[in-house]
Amino acid sequence: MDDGVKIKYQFDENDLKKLFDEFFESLCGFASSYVKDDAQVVDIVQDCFLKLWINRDDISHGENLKSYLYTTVRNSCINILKKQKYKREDLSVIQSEIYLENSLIRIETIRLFYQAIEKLPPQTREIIFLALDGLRNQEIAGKLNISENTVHALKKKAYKRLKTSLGSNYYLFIFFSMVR
Amino acid sequence: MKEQYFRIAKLMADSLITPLSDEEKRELEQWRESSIEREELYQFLMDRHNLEGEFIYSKRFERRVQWEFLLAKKNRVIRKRRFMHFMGYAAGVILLFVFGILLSHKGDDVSMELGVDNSLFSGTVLLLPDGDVIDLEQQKGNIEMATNKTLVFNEKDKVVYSDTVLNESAGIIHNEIFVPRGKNYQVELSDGTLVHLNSETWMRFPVIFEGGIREVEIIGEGFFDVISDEEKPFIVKTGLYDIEVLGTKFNVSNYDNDKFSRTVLAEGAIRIISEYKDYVLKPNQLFEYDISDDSFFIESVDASYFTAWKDGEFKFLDEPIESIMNVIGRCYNMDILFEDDEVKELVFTMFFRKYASVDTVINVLNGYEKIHIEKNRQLLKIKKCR
Repeated sequence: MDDGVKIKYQFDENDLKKLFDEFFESLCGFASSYVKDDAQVVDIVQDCFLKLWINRDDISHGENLKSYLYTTVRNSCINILKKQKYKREDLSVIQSEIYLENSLIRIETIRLFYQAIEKLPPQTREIIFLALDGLRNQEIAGKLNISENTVHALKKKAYKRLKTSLGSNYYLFIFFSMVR
Repeated sequence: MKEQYFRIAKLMADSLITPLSDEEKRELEQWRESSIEREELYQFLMDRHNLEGEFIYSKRFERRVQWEFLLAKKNRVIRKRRFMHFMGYAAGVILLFVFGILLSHKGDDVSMELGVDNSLFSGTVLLLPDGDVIDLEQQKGNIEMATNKTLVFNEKDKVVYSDTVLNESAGIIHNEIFVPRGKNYQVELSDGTLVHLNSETWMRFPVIFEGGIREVEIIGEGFFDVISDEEKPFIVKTGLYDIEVLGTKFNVSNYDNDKFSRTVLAEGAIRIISEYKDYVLKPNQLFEYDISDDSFFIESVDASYFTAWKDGEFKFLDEPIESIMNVIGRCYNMDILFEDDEVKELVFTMFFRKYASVDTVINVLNGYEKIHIEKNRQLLKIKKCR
């Protein structure tokens, strides 16, 4: 800052696209837990990205983008529900913290899981799924017609890759790239 | 506040694929065991079939297609901002204009008595690009605008551009019309489209529609009867949203001192193009844009309530007195003052004709014994009924 070489990074269309690809479906899923109509859900999420785009200069100063996206979507959903004149009882449940916690964790877990899984080669992915079903290495080997050692090795390799991809908080990465 | 939820989601996603560290395991367990709902959510997410089900179902939102839509909308936002910028400029021009009239009427007792208000416009005026002003009340018949070589015809309460002769093509030339409080006027545009303009309304339009699009801008209220031309869509810009038309009848109420900007469709079909979304409106649907929070709402209504004004009638159905008084103020050129704010929300259902005097209208409203309206020359004071 003192030597004047600080370069302000411009949040551009590529960044918007990255975020969109990463979060669009999850945000839609999240909005669906509030608003039932799919067309309305898509509108709300589109709005949210447009708002982000319009306010991109203000937001890049350190707001957590992931929180921003989910919060914006939830607020729009609740606004729409209020306008639809829902019964009070219904709205109090849907506005509650427990409801938010439940939807958010459900959506985020699935998003993070698939984000990691999709980077794996197909066979490794299958191994992970079979392990999720509770199968042991020996059973997986039998099912996929490979040796138990291979299963073990692929799993180990996958863990290593996943540790790095899960470990890096993607949203923080975007944030830093915006102000670098 | 949500950081903990993100943290738990990450632990769960991790645990689905790789073994957690002892510390992480403890953290997740603590969370799970703190309530039944949490444990149920955990069990749900540990089941591969649930994960797959939700994931596949989320594909219905068609990310790729939606990205294209987003790009299109994003570009429209930029256009809208330019328009708002222009509106700031136009408001400045009108202010200058008011000031100019004020100076030219300096010695006039009547205008001094009325004070500095909208009644300074004695009648409807046309504003030309070079700053010239044509008083449409005074100049009837053929009007030749020397500066932009345009010839229009001005009948009683209606100015006609459909036979406009443009002597010399010099790109698109815009005219502006301003209808003051207490007046109504009609404009027949060059394509034959008829626009009824309500009191205190400004509209900007090209004297001849050239190119592949017909575009006008409006602040105030207008009823549009648009001549169908599929080749040349008709666009009405409100500054808040655009209205795209093929051939249809609809009403726009877009005053900057009202809480809502409203578009109601009487016949045909229109598309509302807002900053974020598009909506196709069906007949008898109301698009209501809340200026305070940029939200909007679509509702089924009886369109005749919203278009009655063009035939000199006013119909209100459960309308708050505040907006009724705004309409009365514009229609009869009266200033409105609420002495008790709490009455503003009271709703009334009423009907009156414009040829009724303002005193008659006041008597009707006072007859409900909910409010008391007091008239003092140009001013209507509204109080709670005690």
